[in-house]
Amino acid sequence: MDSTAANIKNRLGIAGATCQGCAHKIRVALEPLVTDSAMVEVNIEQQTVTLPPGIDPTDAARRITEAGFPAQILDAGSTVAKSGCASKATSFCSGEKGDADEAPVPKPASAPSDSNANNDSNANNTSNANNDGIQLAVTGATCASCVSSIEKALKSVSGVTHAHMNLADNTASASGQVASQALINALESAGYGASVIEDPDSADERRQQQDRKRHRTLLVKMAISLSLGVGLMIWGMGFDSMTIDAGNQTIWINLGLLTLGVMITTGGHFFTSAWKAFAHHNANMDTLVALGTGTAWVYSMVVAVFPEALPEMARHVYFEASAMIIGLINLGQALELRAKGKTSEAVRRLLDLRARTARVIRDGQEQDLLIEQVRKGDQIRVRPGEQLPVDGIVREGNTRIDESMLTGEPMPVSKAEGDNVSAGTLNNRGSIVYEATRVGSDTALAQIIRLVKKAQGAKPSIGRLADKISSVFVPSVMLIAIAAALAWYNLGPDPVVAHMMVAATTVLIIACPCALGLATPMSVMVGVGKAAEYGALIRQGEALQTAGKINLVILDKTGTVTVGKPAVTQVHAVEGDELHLLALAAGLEQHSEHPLAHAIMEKVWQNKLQPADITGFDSLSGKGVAGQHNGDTLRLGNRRWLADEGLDVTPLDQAAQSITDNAGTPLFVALGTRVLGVIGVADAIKPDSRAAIERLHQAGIKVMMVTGDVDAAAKAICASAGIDDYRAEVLPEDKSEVVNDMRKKGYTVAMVGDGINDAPALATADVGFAIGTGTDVAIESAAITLMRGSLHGVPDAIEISRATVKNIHQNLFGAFVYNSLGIPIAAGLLYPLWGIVLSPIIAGAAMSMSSVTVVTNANRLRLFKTSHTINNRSRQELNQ
Amino acid sequence: MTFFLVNLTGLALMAAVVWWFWLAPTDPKTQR
Repeated sequence: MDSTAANIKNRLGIAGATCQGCAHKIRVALEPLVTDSAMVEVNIEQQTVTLPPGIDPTDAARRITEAGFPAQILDAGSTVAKSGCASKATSFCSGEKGDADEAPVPKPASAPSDSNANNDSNANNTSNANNDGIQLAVTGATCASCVSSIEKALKSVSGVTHAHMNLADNTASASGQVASQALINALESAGYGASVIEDPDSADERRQQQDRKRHRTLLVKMAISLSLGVGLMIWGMGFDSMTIDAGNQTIWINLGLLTLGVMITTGGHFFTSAWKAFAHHNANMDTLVALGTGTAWVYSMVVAVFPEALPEMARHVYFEASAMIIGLINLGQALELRAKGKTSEAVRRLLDLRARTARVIRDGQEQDLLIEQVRKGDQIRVRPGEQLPVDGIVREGNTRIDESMLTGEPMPVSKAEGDNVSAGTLNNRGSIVYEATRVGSDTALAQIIRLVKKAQGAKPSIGRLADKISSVFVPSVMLIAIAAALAWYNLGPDPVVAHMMVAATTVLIIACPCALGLATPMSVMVGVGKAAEYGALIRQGEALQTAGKINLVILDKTGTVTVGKPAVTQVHAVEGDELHLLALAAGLEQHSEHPLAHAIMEKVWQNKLQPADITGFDSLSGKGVAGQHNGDTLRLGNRRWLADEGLDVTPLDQAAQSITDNAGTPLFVALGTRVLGVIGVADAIKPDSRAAIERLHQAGIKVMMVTGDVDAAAKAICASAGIDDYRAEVLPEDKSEVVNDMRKKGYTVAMVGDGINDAPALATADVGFAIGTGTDVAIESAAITLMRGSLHGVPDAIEISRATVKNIHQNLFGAFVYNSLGIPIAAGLLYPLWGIVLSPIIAGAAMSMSSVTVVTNANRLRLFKTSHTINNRSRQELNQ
Repeated sequence: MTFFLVNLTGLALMAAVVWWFWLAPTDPKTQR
């Protein structure tokens, strides 16, 4: 790189970055190139990345593109990054006439509608370049090997920059400049069925219907094959030796053919799937089932047809094993399907919140319309007990609305004219008329559903390990099976042929990678859903994993630890009562626009007081306000001003000190020469902040606060909220520096802020928590969004994250232990010691049980309760 | 003779698995 280049700040155009989480990903992608990733400026609004001087823009563009955000260089004459993926970014940018000066920013193109796709013959079908990618419903995927085969097939399609398969809900997504038909073709040729998910909601319903149907079919198939298997076993053991001789040869040949028929009808799908995978140099769970049951059947048929070709001891048939294995695996899949359905309960509950109709007032007429017909600006009437159909602003009436389903906040919230209301919430009492502001897929509820679904499909890094292993797993098992057969042939006792077949079949059957494939996605799905129940929306799968490792939580002060708006905290009156003092203060403050004045007026309204009559109002900057009341001068202001006016404020020193100690501002009230009292105004600490911080401490997490406030105020807040450490007088833009410093010291840092002015700090932290009140919070602004204003959301999310990661570990451990113990036992390792040889039937049952165990363990997470809930419940029980 | 044949077949099968799943070129149509 030349010296000129070293001084130039290069700018890149990006696509698909929608939030601060994406900005964080981009910074992480550039970490190997820059000394401090905070120096990389990511502008989400303009979709640009400005690199610090001296960074190779081509390399940076390549890394950003690989991170999933197609990038191109803007300030170097639109030179395009020379990576394969980035060149695709150019191709879709060229659709906007590629003139970097006029249209410097490659806008993320959303997937065009069907009609567009049909009109565009070149695109062939839906073309995509957005971050969410094309969503596909995939059929035929059964195990971890399928996941890697599907991702491999999708990535092999030209134009795909990122592909991801979620086995838990059988959906795949691919992003990049690609036609959906090409993706479907790739998946079909890899042996899977695929269709584009146009409408995720109807796709969900369709999938549920298909799952129910498949569940029934699997049970029928299971019943048929198990009946045959058990029948053969009973007959073989009770009435026949299952060893071929001249007397039973014909019967067994016929029974073999019957078994073949049953295998084809009830287990045909294993064989077709195995063949399709094999033809594409892939192997999956079906390969093992097909090989195992196929080997047992072929061997048995050879024994039945040519018994004399084998030694007498080896003339045993295993038809019952083939039938029973297929039956047991069908049973396992049916149980798995049922348990899988339960994991998406959280989303289903959210979907159920949607109202079907709305009572719309148009032209003075009230009419019930379908929710799809409601337009922005419509006036909607909601009666007590009804669900709100769309988002809007209250225009008439007041009520209390239960928002718990969206925010986790249990108390109904008062709503009056001008307040925002959200779709899916429940009107408790009172009838209101409100104006629709967001309808259809724009409502907060729809966004939350989208977000939860997306996060549920995410794969944290822990899951990628399982994928890597499973991609080489099945062929490795095949090698082990052949090796075991050879070992039995060379070292085993007679009948060696029978032992070879049994060992190979058992190894193939027991080695089920389905548990491995389900271990991570199942737990993630339940964990994300559980977090949503507690009002914590996890936007990135990675955040779910990282949140559990957090050992330092940095809190923003205003709006996070504190309520975010000043309120009257203390009133000390020397003369008269406190309410009279407030009424006098309100008389002055009703003329003022100062935030402290609002705090006093709010208190006065709450107490339904009448402000005192004031004439000649005057505002004295840096001092206070003054006016005439009953012929005397009424003053409200700081200590120094009143002292300068010759008033003695010392009797109130102690009260003023107490206000200051609690991070408040003391406002002295004086009438004429008499000092009447002092009013403390402070941004009060939220009632549950201290308890939430205590929970973080109990979890072994250090808590720190950053604020722009002066040292004394910060210190006071920390003391009363129980915060360990603080940084005061920090400018909003420097908060990310504090986060960075703490990360460099080795902490895994969570930053909790309001998601708007703390955005850079949220993006810099390992996990950013955006905290908001109600549904107004911008849910796109951090990795985790807390829907209710309470800080309890942070320990809740951390506890859920820890429980989820623990659950994933248990699942992976179970899957690995199962395979590492099962395979050697199946191969016959225990035979030399104790003469134990595993039956292929037991192997089939064990294989089914392994995946059922994983799914059941993941479902256990649904019962998880955070320590806050448990404590609350026990308190309630104590009170009863 | 059978001893050699069986072992040879086993080894050949193992080699075929390694070749087919790891070494053989995949379908050029789906090559990246």
